[in-house]
Amino acid sequence: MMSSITPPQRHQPTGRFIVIGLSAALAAAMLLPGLTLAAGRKSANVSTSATVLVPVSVSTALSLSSGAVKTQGSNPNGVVVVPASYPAQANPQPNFPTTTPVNGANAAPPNAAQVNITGSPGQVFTLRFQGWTQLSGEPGSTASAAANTYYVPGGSPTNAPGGVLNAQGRATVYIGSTITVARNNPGTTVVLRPTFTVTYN
Amino acid sequence: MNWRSTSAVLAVSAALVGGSAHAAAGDCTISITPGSNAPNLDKIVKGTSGSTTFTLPTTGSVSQSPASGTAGAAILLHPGSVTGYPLHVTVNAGSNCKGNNIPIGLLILPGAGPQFTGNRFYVHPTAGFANMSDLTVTTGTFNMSFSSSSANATATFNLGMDVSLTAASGAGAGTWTTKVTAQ
Repeated sequence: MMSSITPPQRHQPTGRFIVIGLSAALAAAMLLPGLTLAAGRKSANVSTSATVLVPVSVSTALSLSSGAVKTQGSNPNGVVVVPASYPAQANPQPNFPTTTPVNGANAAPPNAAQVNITGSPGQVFTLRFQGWTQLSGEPGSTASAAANTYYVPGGSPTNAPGGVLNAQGRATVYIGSTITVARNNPGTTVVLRPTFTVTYN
Repeated sequence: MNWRSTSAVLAVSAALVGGSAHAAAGDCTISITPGSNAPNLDKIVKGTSGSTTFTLPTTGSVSQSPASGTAGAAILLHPGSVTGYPLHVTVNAGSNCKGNNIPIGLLILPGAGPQFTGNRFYVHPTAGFANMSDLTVTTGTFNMSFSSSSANATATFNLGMDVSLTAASGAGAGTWTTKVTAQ
């Protein structure tokens, strides 16, 4: 039936045209509830942010060493002061108040402990020192945590252990201290490993 | 019928369409206001295994599971520095969605950077709800009823949520979007 409809002339509307127009109006009316529901769905958004950091990784590349030393005179102990920046920087030099560095074939200079840290680039960190553990040398030797010094390349030796990870997420911290070397007549080299935690600020 | 009758039918249709536009103007509206400053969890050290979930409650401070310090768990570095929570949501009934059983949709949309996910929400009604009990919403949708049946009734609730971060996520600046819908 619909296919047989002949389009009406503009000035000669027919009953069939009226039926088509009425159907369109009813269809539009039936669609209204659906249109209203779709239009009625309202929403609001809020954005939350956070900075996600990679876990810090630390390793001790070098332990603190007194170097090869002999205790002077009849002292039961000798002392070696190892600056945090030595030997990364030539000065200040280690100090040997009551010890004498071994010369010759057995000579070995002191060195500060070296801690390598990796994490998120640009983040500030703090190293919390916990203690020294003797690895080798005359038993009973110690280092004073209270005398620790810290050095981050590019900065100055400081008593405040911390720094900033570089653009590659890396940092190096050197730790020096005052080592009390127990007497050993031929001489001894005391090596102490630092124990510490590193956290982001 | 004649041409004048046809014009009358079209006029009726136009009136109905106009009515639809008028109804849309009276629909529910939603607004979200952060609790204080912009929502920000500050710094999170991601875990080394599994997934860590941070709970942003409707009251109190942020917590996490597994707890900070548990092997493999992420660490919320400064829980006291979290800002913007709880979110404050206001629903206005307009003239169309007043009454009972109004579906409220809650959704977390991942944003840029490390991917935060979540589908658990905490709703703490603060005004205008027929039932003022706290809700835990895990389906992403709950039905609310206004305490008033009048047009433009307003109900408000505080919104908290759980968001999770896996060890496999990336690092850097991350965002997510909390979306609230009403119908």
